[in-house]
Amino acid sequence: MKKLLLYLSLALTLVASPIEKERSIYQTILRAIFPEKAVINVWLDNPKKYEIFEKIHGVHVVKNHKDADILILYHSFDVPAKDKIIFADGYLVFEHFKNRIVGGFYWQKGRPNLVFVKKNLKDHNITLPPSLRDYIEDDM
Amino acid sequence: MRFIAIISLLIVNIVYGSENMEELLRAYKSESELSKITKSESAGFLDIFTREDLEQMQAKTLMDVLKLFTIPSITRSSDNTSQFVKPTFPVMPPFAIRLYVNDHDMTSTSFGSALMLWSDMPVEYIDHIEIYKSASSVEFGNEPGSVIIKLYTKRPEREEGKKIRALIDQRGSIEADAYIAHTTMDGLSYLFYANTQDINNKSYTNKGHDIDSDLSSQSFYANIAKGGWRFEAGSYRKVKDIFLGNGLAYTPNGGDIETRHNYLQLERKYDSGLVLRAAYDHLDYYEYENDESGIPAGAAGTVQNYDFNLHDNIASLIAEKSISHNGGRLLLGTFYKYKEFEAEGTFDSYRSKYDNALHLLSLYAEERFSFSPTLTLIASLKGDYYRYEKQIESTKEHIVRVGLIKNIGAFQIKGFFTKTYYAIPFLYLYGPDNIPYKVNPKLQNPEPILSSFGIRYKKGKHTLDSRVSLITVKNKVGYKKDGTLFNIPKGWYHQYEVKYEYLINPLSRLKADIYMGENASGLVMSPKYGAHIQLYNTIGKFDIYNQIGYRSNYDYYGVDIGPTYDYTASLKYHATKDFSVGIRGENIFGTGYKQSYKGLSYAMPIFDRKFWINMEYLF
Repeated sequence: MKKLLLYLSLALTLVASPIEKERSIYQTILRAIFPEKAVINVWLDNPKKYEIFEKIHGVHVVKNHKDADILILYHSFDVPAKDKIIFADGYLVFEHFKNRIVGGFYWQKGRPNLVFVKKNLKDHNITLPPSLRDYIEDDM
Repeated sequence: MRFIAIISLLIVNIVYGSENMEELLRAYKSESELSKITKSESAGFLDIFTREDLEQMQAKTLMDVLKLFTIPSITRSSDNTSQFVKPTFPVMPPFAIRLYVNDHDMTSTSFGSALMLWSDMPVEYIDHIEIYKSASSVEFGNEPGSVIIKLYTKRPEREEGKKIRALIDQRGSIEADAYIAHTTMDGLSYLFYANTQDINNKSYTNKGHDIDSDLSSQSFYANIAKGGWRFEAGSYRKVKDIFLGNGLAYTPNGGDIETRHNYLQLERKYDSGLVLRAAYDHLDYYEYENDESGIPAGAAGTVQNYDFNLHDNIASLIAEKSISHNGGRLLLGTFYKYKEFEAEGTFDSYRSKYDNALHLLSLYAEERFSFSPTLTLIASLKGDYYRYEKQIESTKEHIVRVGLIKNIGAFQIKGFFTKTYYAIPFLYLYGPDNIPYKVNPKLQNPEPILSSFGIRYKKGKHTLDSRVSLITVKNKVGYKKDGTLFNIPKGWYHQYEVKYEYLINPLSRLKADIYMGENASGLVMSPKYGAHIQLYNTIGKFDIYNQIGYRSNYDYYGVDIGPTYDYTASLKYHATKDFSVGIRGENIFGTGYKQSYKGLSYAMPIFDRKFWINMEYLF
């Protein structure tokens, strides 16, 4: 019970600065994509984002993309592993890979945007929880 | 163990998933406001208009923000130029207020500061506005001023897309603008913005003569960046009717003031903390006026036809190095400016043409040292060397500033002691034939000593800010009857300000302020007291904004002006995330601020009563 409280208190302290808000957003996204995985292996191409993902409970940042469940790309336009799930952390990456990317979280039009691509979610057999279905777009 | 982890994560998922991604995104946007990155608490007392503030206010131009200034507050001169007053004072020197767009100082050789030219600039390409008071400029590495207005443009990496906007008002005014922002795959980012305005204002008559204040302008801005390089270009042209003009009886037969300012700036920022900047500015000022009652033109006496042109050329080079060390940061900087000025005019049968140039070299250093996480000391020193090419004696000036910032629980205490000066621009110093101004080459720069103290209390949803400034000025500048400026050995001035902000909920907030000031003479030549209340709300797809401003009564040039109230409100409907329609009413009840002028037996409104409709689309 103590551990449960500890996990909960850790999780609930994720709310404050922009980094913590971004962490909360990614935590929600990753949990939605991998609802049953206890540990999600993430590969990042932007070292500046390590501090965000390393502190998400249940997420492990891997150094080798081959070990990853999901690739979170900010500025890579060549995907190192063709069979992996890709999520965009920048608008350009999202645009570049929109035919195969499951979604993206990026700044555009002066605001942060969260978008999931219906066709690509389906290709990876991902069903999002109802709370995120408003962010699914049919046609990109 | 694993079960517990999964259960807790599921709970977190439920909490955050439904904590509602919309709320998380809104909170992330709010926490990521650029002002939180750019603001500098050590540079003075700080007021911020965030992007959200500007959008909900439906602020079109810088003037919509200047209207909310406390000390100083905005007014307009008889020739329709924007001026500032401190409570109880008439008009303060325009060169004491500096305007920056990003890191570019909008300077002028003729006027000192180019704020007067840019006061009506559009703010659609501006992300947020920071106003520093009791400042010294050392931190921003440029010419001296005690009020620094910093406009930060929107960043291409956040904008990615295009926006178009169109506005109309009840008098047939129109405004339209557009911008495009993009970042390429190889890291080149750009923002291009263009605006055009054609503004009609209410016309008055004085002794059968039309008193107009219409305005038209065109502006352009470009920002191109890659790696540590950034190139900026700005252009603003404005034509304003002369309003009452400068005639003795304010009976103009037409006239206007046309101003143009074009600038280029190239900046290189290195990871080592070194910043290099090179800039070029060109300004033109044309004033034409006809008034049979006579317009003062210096040694030419009074004339009926007044046609005056000014041309400024300014080249500047800036180098700054920021050195982080144990417990603090040292800023070292230097700049060189070449400021050239040319004046020519025809005043009835008199012709006048003259020019001069200034070499300005500046060296500065600022140490920001934290004795502990709650105690920071700021110490600044700046030396400026003025060398004029003609007639005016070269001078050396310096600025010394010491500040302390202490955080104790919910309180933040700030104290600044600043010994500074304001550089008098050419227009008042040089003019070989004293036409159209009688100049005083012996005029000394005013040297204010500012002692400022403030306490901020911030707890939960409440922020209370109180500030006191005591100012003594050596070589204060006054006007003689013939228009010549002269030095008054000493004067003093006190100003007080209290600001309050209450976050009602994530979608609603209240801001309020009250201010007052008093001067050594005891005369009240402008409102002694003032206050504002602003209320921001978002309800569903609607943004609702209300603003009330108050200025107390005063008696100036024999005209008794009672208390004035300006009520402004706006409503915006977001039909979709990308399309919105808004309406903004300014000075809705027509009871807004007024100004009296020497020789005019009644006061004139400073701002018109306006109802704007706007539409904007992002794509």
